[in-house]
Amino acid sequence: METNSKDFDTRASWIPQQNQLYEGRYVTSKVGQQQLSRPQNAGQPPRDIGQKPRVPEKMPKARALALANTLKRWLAIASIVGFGTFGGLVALHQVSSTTTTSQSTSTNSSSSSSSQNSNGFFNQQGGNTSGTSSSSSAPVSGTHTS
Amino acid sequence: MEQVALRQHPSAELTPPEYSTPAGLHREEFRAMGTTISLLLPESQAESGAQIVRTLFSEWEQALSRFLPESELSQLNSQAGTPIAVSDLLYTVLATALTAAQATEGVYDPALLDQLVRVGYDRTFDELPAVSFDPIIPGEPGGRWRGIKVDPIRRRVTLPIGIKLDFGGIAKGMAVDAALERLRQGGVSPAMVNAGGDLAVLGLPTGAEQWPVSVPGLEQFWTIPLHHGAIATSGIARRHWWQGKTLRHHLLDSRTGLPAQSDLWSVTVVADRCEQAEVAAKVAFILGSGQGAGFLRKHHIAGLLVRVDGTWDAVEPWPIDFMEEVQP
Repeated sequence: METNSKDFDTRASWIPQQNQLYEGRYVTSKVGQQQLSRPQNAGQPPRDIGQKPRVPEKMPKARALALANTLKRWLAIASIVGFGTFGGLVALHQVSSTTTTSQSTSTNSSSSSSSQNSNGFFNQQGGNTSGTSSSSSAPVSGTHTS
Repeated sequence: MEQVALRQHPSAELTPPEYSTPAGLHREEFRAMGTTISLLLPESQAESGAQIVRTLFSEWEQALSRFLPESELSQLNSQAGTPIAVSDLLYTVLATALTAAQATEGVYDPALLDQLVRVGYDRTFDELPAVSFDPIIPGEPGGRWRGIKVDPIRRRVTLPIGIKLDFGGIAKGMAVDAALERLRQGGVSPAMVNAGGDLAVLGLPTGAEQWPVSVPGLEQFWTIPLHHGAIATSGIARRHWWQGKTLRHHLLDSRTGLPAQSDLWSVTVVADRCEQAEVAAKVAFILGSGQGAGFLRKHHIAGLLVRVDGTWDAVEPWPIDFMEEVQP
């Protein structure tokens, strides 16, 4: 049986340089950080070349039934937990929807109030004519109907 | 109602009082945008400052006049239904006008040019005959500004077929604001720019605490102190004419498409910017004394509403305590 030693070489390669040139740019790695360079086939099981696949042994009926019952129990538990979670999410969603609605209501009222405030067009700093003394002198210019 | 007022006052528009020129300032005047532009500028910067303002008003008139067939506005008006790329200037003025229309729930409507022409205002006011014998056509309500499509990225505007824009006073008010901004950038201060009654100030004259500004009533002027910001007046004293036996004026009610039937003679408004003052005064006039005062109050805009019978109301923070009658 031949093995491809390259395929099984999963040893980590330590790259000690902190600054490595990458496509013309320096990429700074953190101090002490190990960079693992894995081969392409790393993590895959070794391939036995020329070996026939083994036929799995048949499970006894009693064990299969026991396994099926266990699965049913877990399925039932998972269903209950899932239903509970779903119900909780629905309830939470309703609460947050209500909150959003009330927020948008207040937004609407504030935007209606801001539209009453003319969407900013008539925003005033104020104080244009808040005089502290009367204008005893003759006018320097005047407004009139245009 | 305004017919009664005009008959009572055949001269209609009061002669403005004599204006004094504050020490250290120079007065300059020229014609643009169908009106007289009056400036007060520091003596040492009068020439450069006046040039800045002349250039600006010339640019604005060339782009925005509805009376110039080659203006950008006229070109846009002639291509309704087609997306048109417009200049930054036209885009900015249109966007501001649409914001104002929205803010006033359509009482200010920048798309009433056809209606204005129908009531006889089809040429510059200086060329308009005092009496015309055109047939009287029923008014058509406005509100179609809501159909204007604006693409802010590509600066494209599509007018709905059948409407034309007339910015009127808001463009003049914006030009005043823009002129003061250019003067400020050019280091020209203090300054006052007055475009046919829409005026705004920058800084204060040396040694002065305010700009004394005259404000019209029905039969007299008052002086009020203006510290900063702008002031504008809307009314029918000047721009009115007769279409047959029907009195017409340029302040159209968008609900009817006809000259507003207001109990007011004029509305003067003080605001931060001239564009705001111009729109607020016009809207308050169209709404009449009751609703107009309510509108100004709602927006915390100081105003003086003069009725056709000569009585008046002020909306705070109008400086009633500092109003002084100008002696003839």
